[in-house]
Amino acid sequence: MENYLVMEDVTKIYNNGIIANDKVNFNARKGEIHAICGENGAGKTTLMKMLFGIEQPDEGKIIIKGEEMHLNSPTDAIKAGIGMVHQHFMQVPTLTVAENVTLGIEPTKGLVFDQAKAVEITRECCEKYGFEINPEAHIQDLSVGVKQKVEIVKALVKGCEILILDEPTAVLTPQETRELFLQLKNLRDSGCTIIFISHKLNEVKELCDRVTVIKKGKTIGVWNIKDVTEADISRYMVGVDVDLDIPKKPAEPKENVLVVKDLTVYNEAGKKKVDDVSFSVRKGEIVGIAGVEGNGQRELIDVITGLAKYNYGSITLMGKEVKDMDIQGLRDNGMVHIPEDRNLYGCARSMSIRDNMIADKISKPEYNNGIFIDEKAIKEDTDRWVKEYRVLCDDGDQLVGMLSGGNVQKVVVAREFTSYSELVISDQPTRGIDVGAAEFVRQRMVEMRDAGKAILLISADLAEIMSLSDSLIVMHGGKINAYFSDVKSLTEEDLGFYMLGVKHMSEEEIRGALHE
Amino acid sequence: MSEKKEKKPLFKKLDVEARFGLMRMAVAIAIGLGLAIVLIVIGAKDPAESLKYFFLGPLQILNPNVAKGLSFNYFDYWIQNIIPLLFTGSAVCIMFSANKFNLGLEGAIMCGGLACGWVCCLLDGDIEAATANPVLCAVCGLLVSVIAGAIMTTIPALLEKKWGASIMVSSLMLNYISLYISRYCLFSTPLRDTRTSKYSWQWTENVVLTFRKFLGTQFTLRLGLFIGIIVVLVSWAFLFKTRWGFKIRQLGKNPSFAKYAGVGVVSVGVLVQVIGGMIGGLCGATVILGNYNYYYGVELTGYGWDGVTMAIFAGNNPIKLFLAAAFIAYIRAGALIMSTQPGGPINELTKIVEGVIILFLLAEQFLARTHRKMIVEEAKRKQALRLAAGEEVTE
Repeated sequence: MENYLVMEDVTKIYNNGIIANDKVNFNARKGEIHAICGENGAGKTTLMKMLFGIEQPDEGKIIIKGEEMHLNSPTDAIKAGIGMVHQHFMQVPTLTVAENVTLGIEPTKGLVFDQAKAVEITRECCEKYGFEINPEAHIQDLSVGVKQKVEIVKALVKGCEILILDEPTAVLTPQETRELFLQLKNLRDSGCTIIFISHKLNEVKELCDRVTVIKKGKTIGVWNIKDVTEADISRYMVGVDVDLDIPKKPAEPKENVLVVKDLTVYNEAGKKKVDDVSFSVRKGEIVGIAGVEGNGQRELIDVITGLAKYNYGSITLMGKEVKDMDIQGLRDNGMVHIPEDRNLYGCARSMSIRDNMIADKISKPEYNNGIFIDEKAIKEDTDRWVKEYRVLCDDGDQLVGMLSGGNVQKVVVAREFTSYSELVISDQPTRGIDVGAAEFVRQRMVEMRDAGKAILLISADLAEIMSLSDSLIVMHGGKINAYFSDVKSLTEEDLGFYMLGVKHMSEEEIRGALHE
Repeated sequence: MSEKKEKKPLFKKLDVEARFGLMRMAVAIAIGLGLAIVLIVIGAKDPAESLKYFFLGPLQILNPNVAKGLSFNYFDYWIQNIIPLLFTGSAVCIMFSANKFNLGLEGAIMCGGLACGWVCCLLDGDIEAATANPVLCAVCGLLVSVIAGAIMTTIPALLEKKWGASIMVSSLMLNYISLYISRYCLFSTPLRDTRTSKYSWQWTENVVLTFRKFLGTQFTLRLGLFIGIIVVLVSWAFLFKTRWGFKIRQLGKNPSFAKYAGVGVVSVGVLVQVIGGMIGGLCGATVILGNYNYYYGVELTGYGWDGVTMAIFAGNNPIKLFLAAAFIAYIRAGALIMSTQPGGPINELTKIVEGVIILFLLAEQFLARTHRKMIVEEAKRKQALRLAAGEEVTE
């Protein structure tokens, strides 16, 4: 059925003045998997947020089955038969699958929640669409892959006919991805329309029927998937061919900068999150940490960067124990940190680019004249950095909140890379930013390595971590599950097995991560 | 890239947010004043006369006594009202900049005044003859008030640091403790003038005179105003021109970011409250020294709350306090003058006006549609500019 869902000349301008969608046109047929491709920041997610009623378009129309819809909230969207699986799951971890699935449409017996009915509804839906989930399991005990299935079932139970998946494979291992695709194809064959947002072109090619490409908030075009190659799509998305391979000399590691030894970290709830981890990062090498999210990487990085405290084991930076150092102390000893969440830790959105770039160096003598800050020196340096790091802005006085995600990340990277450093902690350094900016950040990291810095890279992007890292640590269940001193021989498939904990390395091999 | 020198515009063109902020302020004030007019018209016997006094009174031109060369008191009402606003506004600007909602300023003012009064009484033990040096009295009074004020706002700060007690709640409670300390001192300690019921012993009148007429003019140019102006300027320089101020603002804008960048979050948080209390104490002493030669404090002054009003008006930027304080003090003086005229409505009117203005300033969704429209227009204008410059191409 042609024109099952039509979005016509849809425009969305965000409060910071960024035009996220500029007269975007999109249409989907009944029973197809339709990919929306575009760089990070191209406006894919915004378009879908409008379809799901989270944002309202400034201009344009949304027409479903020939009827113009005004979707003022997700409730409206759900009524219109639209379901969305977000990048971050919307689930209550302490409740069961059935309770989560029926949240909002709770079956009742008299005045109380009907647990048995909820389980039945969930089981029925799972069976109908071929999902293998135990409705009585608690969400917190499930793996990421299963949680995602729950999210899909949640939408299906509410009678959704149009299912939006926002980068569903970003958190999955190759094996889980394959399973997901099978189920999505089943869904399509039963008449569901699936909108698949991704910038992983091999997946798009494998899974989808048609593809719409969006670039800088504008529709570039729609193609049948069999008529285009991955290279074609990539060219439409970016405009130029992108080379993901970063030219890089072999690493020449020197002495240890960061040494983590027998480290065990408990979270606030008293759960062991990092379990007896030992490794080191040397001058002139990039050490990658791979792992499915939630396997202790977060907690490990938090204690290394001083955001959280640890009790067992030791961490030394440049030979000094960091246990009682505050963050200023860590920074004085050469730690710089690109945080995973740039909006929470990486910047103050209501301060200027200048202020954000200087924030960690404001007490340095070169930026102070006696008791006053030296505004001239700050302006000179920050203006230079804005140029050097190619931050797209009016000028340095512009608020960081007015920038696009990629440019905010450049501000963060500029600040950290221009500070005194021996150790660079790079946590998801290219998450959610466009290809151009990501390539730029990656190149900078290689330059830093060649300048003799020790770099610890954490990334959920397997292609990135495999191409950048000189050696690689895989974490599973809070432990180091594998250590590769040479990444070149490693395949993505194999890495997936270690991330899932299907394969293990011997103690002996893992001990190689710590250089003494 | 830009080889040709660009001409610097005299005023930097305001961005959308700044323009919207100004517009919103103007609309809020217009609504407030409009309401004032309505209330006056309803309540006054002779609305035209009352309105005249309300809007023009503080400018002195309506004062019947001026012609007789007697008094400048109308204008002085205005100045008198400005002084505490400058102090408390500065204190709250600094504390709110770090997102520390310490509401203990009221108590700091109380204790500042009390400490100042006590010291002045001690220095000038003789009721009959003015023996103490007025300058010494004033200087010592101001000094101890700073300490007393700092103590009052630091207590909630330390309670939070140590036991996680909410600053807002504990500082509010402490205001009452300050009040009762003050009452206790006045009623049950040697501070009390045994001949009266609720005043302290008097000290030399010369202190007040020094404060009021330090330039020796008949026109009461108050020393407090000058101290207030200095406090505002120092606060502004501290917040915006020093590294400590930078850290304070950083903490207020995003505490996680501040922590991540190495700011000592706890110590900076306590520091702002110490400073706020110091300014509050100074405010209490200035009000006492500039108006009375005895201590009298059996009610809360309300100045602490004015500080919150001021900080909201000024958007936590002390330099904007001058305008904000002049405006609020003007309508307060206007209302007071109006109410003293026969048939004039009561001056509590200003409280309504202030409240309404603050309400509209704080209501985030107020004028939201206009805001959206401005943003959309600006975005399109910029896009058109980029198109014209060839930085963006349409396909």
